[in-house]
Amino acid sequence: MVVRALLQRNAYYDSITLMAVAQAARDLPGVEDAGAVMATELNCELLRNAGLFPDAFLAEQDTPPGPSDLLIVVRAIDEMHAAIALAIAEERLATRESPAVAAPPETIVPRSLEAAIRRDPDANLAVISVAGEHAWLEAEQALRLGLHVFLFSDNVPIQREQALKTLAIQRGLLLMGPDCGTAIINGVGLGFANVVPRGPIGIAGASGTGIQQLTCLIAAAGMGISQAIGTGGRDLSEAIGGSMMRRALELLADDSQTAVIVLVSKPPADLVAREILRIVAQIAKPVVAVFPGADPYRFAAIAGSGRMARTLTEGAALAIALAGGDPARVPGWEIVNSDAASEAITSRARFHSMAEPHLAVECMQVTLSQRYVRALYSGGTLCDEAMLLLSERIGPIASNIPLYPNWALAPGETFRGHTALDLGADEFTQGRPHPMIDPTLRLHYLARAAEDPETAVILLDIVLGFVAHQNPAAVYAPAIAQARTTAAAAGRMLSVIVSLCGTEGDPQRFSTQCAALEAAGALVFASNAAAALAAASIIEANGQ
Amino acid sequence: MPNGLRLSATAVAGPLQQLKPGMGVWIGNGMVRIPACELCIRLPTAFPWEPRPTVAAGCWHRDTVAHHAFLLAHHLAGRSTQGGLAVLAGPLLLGWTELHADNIYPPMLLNSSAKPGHHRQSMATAYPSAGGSWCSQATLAQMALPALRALALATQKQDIAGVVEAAQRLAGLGPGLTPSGDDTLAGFAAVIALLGAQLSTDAAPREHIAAAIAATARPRTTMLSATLLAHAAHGEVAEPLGDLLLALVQPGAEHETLFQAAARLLSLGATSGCDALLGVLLGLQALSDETCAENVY
Repeated sequence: MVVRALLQRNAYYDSITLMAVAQAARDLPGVEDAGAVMATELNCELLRNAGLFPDAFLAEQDTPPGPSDLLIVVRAIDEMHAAIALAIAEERLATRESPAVAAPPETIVPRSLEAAIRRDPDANLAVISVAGEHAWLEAEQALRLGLHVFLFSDNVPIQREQALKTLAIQRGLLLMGPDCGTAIINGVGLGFANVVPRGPIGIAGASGTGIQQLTCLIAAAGMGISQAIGTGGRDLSEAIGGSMMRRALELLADDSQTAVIVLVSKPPADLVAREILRIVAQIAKPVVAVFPGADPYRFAAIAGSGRMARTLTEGAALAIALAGGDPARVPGWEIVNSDAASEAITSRARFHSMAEPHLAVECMQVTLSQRYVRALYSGGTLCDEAMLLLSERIGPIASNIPLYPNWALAPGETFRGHTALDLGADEFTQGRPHPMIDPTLRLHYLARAAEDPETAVILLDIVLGFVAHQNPAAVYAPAIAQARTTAAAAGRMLSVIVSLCGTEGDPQRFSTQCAALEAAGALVFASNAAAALAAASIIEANGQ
Repeated sequence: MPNGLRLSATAVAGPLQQLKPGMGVWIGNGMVRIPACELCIRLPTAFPWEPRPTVAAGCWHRDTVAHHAFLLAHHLAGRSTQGGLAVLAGPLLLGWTELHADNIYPPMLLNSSAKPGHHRQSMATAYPSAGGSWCSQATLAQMALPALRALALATQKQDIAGVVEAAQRLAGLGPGLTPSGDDTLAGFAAVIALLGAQLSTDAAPREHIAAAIAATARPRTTMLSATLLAHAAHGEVAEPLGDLLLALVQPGAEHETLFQAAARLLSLGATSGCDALLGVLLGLQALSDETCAENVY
């Protein structure tokens, strides 16, 4: 056994480097042990105890090593192996000192935006998802460096958003965000996005799940998406005034690949809606606007040439028709259409006309105590859409994002009559992942809703695609089956309706997820509007 | 870090390239001055980051803290294969008698009736000797364990001389730019300084003990580590550690916050986070167990 060492005075290497160097030395053939430690008194003792102390070597030094000096020691079977090990260790340290020189570029992770751009000067988009309080800084830097920005982060102060969007517009750049969950640019999905074909319909959206539902329905009907530009959830608020939405509409209007434009957002402030719809009127291409959750008559007067759709499903169908496709191919179209057309039809006739035989069976067996729908949503916009449709048919829907203030849930109240929860809202996502990624919280509420004897229908959305949970059915199907079994044992028929937003091209595969959920007894709809209407029908039929 | 700065302007890129570790930096009066580069940066009026977690704000129920510490001790014990001192979590915090390579199952069940006198560690049996293993880690642990026990005991008795002697056996010990022993001392010192009053039975502050630890370490370790330790003794810690301390106070049912904070801390550095957490848990133990030195959670 031979012990050899090298000493670097006043060395400054981070712990991970030192650990890697020591490990690399240890992994070499013929090396029994190695260490890379700062030469503190105790470490010298440590090396001594481990049989690694290089007495002779240190005796040769002019001054004894101190705590700021690095000592690399190897114990090997002979001189040659020891020398090789030390040489390799030294080389590793040297490459850490000037990474641009020695190590192959792909192993080095750039530590700053500028370094990343130097590495790849053609990059023109920055995707940012750090915590909101710091994200604006990164976004500003990216914009100043000439990059478009996809800003996934939320909790960015509103003044920062204003400043950033002003800067972006000045520079002719896109700032998609903050709080932008979804975009599809040139066929590439950003954030939570589904795999959809390219095609002639362009989307400008201030709602992530709104964009997702539209793209999935359009894909199911056989058409495709040219671009889906996200603007961030707050873009159509009064403070921001729709600046990025305006830009997105301009881009889509000029885009040769886009024949029809769809605009989706949570209901905007009147002033902003007016301004946006005025711009829409000036666009030569047909534009469909959807504000899920809004009273459909609210914007009719100012819509001008823009076509207002009440639901995402209708919006998708309208867009498809305008692009020359067949709107009847949009999933849920029949249900939504007949609902819209009907006025004084009794609910029993309504659900018969839905041509859903198992739905009829579900309606028949609900017990009298079960009176309410409990909706558990991960997407706020889908929740809004459902609440609008449900409230029109069955009355007030209590919620943490109520359509009207007096429908708000009291603190500590879980359900109150008909209830719809947006479990992706801030109060539910503090310190835990979003329900689209982590099902834990939703499963908890599912169980609670199932236990409640007043629950007749549970409605939930499951969103597929990139970034979402890799196999939601594997988690939800057993839970749904369990819930229905438990209810059945107590003499209750519990209906579970799933609004499944996704495509065949998604990693989870729509058909696979659908089959698993249906096998567990859920009624699955690709159209969120249809799902909500189905839930309403069950309640209404029970009431008669 | 309590003395880190990030700038948004890219225009300053040139002068910053001349910076080298060890150069003096003056911070104050809303400015950062680096004389060696003739650089003077005016700081914006943005709110500065506060490295001292606001512990006074929380309600420090001993039972909640003890329960959380118990959970974290187990969690840490499962991380022993990463290197550093995490391998001591079992023997030090949970009363395990032997070190095991994977530490997944304690050699004895968590037996509250186990007598203190039986807690003697036997390292010789446990360590793997497969080719390529870090035999020195066993040595490291062997050196650190008695010193850490002594540190906790001396702290409980408020025996400064004992604290100093124990710290002398830990400062500068172990791999890393911030040696493992230092990271553990930092976690320990931060807890003693910040929570000494809240959690001890006599409710007396113990900053002087933390200060003694930092002073002892100063000449015995790298400049960086000594500086960080000095800050820790004032209760000024890296953000992940601060977040963990605050998460300790979350009501008993809220484990997710706690484990997320723990995950962030444990991923700090190569072993710094794990070593710091060991120190934190040891510090909590020292504050809560005023009577028996070898109590288990």
